[in-house]
Amino acid sequence: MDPALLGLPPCADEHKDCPDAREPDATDRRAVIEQLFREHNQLLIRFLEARVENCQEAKDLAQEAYVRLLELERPDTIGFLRAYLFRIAGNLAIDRLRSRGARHRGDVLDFFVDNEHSDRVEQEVVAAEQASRFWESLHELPRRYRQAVVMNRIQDLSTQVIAASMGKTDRTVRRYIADALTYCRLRLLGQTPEEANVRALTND
Amino acid sequence: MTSSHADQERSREAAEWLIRLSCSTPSEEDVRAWSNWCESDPQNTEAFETLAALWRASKQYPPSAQAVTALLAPDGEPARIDGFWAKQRPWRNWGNPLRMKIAYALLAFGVLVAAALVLRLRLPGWHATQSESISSERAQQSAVVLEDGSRVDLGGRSAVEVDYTRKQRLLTLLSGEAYFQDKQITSWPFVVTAANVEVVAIGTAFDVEKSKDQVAVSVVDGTVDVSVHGRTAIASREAQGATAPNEGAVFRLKAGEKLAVSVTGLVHFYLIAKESAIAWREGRLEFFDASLSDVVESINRYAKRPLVIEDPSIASKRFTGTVFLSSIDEWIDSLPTVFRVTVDRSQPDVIALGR
Repeated sequence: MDPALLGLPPCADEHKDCPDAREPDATDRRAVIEQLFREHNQLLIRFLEARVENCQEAKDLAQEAYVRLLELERPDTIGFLRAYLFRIAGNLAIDRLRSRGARHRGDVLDFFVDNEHSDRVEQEVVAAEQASRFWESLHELPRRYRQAVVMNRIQDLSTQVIAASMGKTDRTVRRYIADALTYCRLRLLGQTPEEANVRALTND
Repeated sequence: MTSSHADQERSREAAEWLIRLSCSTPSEEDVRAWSNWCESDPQNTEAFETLAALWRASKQYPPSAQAVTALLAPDGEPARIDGFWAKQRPWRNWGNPLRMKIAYALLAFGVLVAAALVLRLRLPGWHATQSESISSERAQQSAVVLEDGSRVDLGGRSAVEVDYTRKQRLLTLLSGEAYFQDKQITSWPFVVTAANVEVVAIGTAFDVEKSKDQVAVSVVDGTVDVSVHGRTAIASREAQGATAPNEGAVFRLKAGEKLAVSVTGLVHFYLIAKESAIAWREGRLEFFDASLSDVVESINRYAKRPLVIEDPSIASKRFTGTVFLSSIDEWIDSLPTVFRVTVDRSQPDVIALGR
C-alpha cells in the first residue's frame, strides 16, 4: 500500500529524501498547503496550544510549521502533508518546551501582540474567575488528585516525575489529572459534588 | 445549569485528550485519533477548546500560597482555614475530643518513657542540659546518641551543634546532612534549625540537608512542623513566586513528604519514598528533581576529587536518579550523556563540568 494513503511519511528523517519521492511542482505544493491551512489551521493551533500552553507561541509555531512544510521536498498528497504538518509542529513544540527553562514566559509579549483585541481584558477576567473556581472545586477531591494537579500545574513537574514521587505509574497520574480536570469542569457546569464525583472519577 | 449525559461524557473525553496531548509526547496515532474526534462533531471541538482554556487559566492564575498548602494537606484535615497552618503547633492542635484523648494517652506514655529513661540513665532531671558540637569528615558517616536517647546520624562532611536547655532541645545543622531520630514523646520539643528553616518534632524521625542554595526536610516517621522565616512562596518553576508570598509560614509534613526551601524563600513540596531520604546511610544518594548544583554539592561531601561547575548555565539542570557512593566515578563518566555536560579531568585537584 502507498504510504501516503496511510497518511504516514515513509522516512523518519524529514531532511532526507525518500527514494520514491516525486519531484513536486512548486505551485501545486503551495495550493495544497493553502488548502491544508484553510482546513486544518484551527486544529493545528489547538494542538499546539495544548502542547505549549501559550496561545501566541502556538500561533508562531503553527506558522513555522507551514514554512518548514513548504521547504520540504516531499510527495504532496494532502493526507501525507497533513500528517507531516502535525509531526513538524509536534517537534517544534518539543524544542520550544526544552528551550524554555531560563526564558521568561511570553506574557509581556502576549500583551503587545494581542492588545488590538478590545475584549482582551474581559477574557482575562473570565479566565481568572474560571481558574479560581477550578481551584476551589479541586479542594473537594481526595488528596492524590489534589497533589497530582498541584505538582503538575504549580510546581510544573512532568507526570513521570510526579509518578516517581507518588509511587504510581505515569499512566495513573495522568488519569488522576484527567479525572480531576473532568470533575472541576463538571462542577463549573453546575453539577453537585456527588454528581460530578460519579461522572468524573474512574475507579482505582 | 445542568448538562446532559452526552455533555458530561464529552467533557471526560476532552479531558482525556487534553492530558494525552499535553502531559506526554503524543504519537502520530494519537494526533490522528484526536483530530478525528475533534472533527467528528463540532461540539467535541468546543468542549476541547473550553477545557484547554480552563487548563491554561489554572496555570496562569494559580491559587494563593495558603490555598496550595491546603490543597497538599492530607485528607480529613481542615483544608481551607486561612492562616491555620501559620499559627498551629502540634502540641496545641488538639481541638477535638478524639485528638484530646490521643494527646493524653501519648502524654501519659511519654511520662512513662521519660521516667524509665531518667531511672535508666540516672540523669539529675529529664530536662538535662547538654551542649556539644558533632561533625564528620568527607566520605565519613557517624552517629551520636544524645543523653535523652535521641540519635543523630551525620552524612559526609556534616556538622551539627547540640544545645539542650531546660526549655527545649535545640539542634543546629551547620552544614551537610543529618538524620534525626527523636524517640521521646514528651513536651520537651525537639527543634532542628538550618538557615532560615526550623523543624519542630516530637517522637519522629526526619532528615535535614543543607546546601548553599536550599534546605530540604524529609520525614521518615511521624509528623513535623517546618517553619520558614522570612518571605516564602510556593514554588512554580516557570514564574517564580507567582503564588502570593507569605511572611513566614508553617508547613506540616508527614512521613514520606519532603519540603525544600530555597534561599530565596521558594518552597517546593515533594512526595518521596521514605527510605530514599536516608538511602545515604546505605551508600546511595537518591535525588529527586534536584538541580545539578545541589547534586554536585551532595556528591562533593563524598567524592575524592570535588566537582566544580564551571559554566553557571548548567547548574540549574534537573536530575532524578541514584548515585552509588561506591561508584561516583562511573556516575561522573555518565554525565556527558545524562546531562549533556563536558567532564574535564585535566586539573589535578578538581573535576570541572562545563557545557
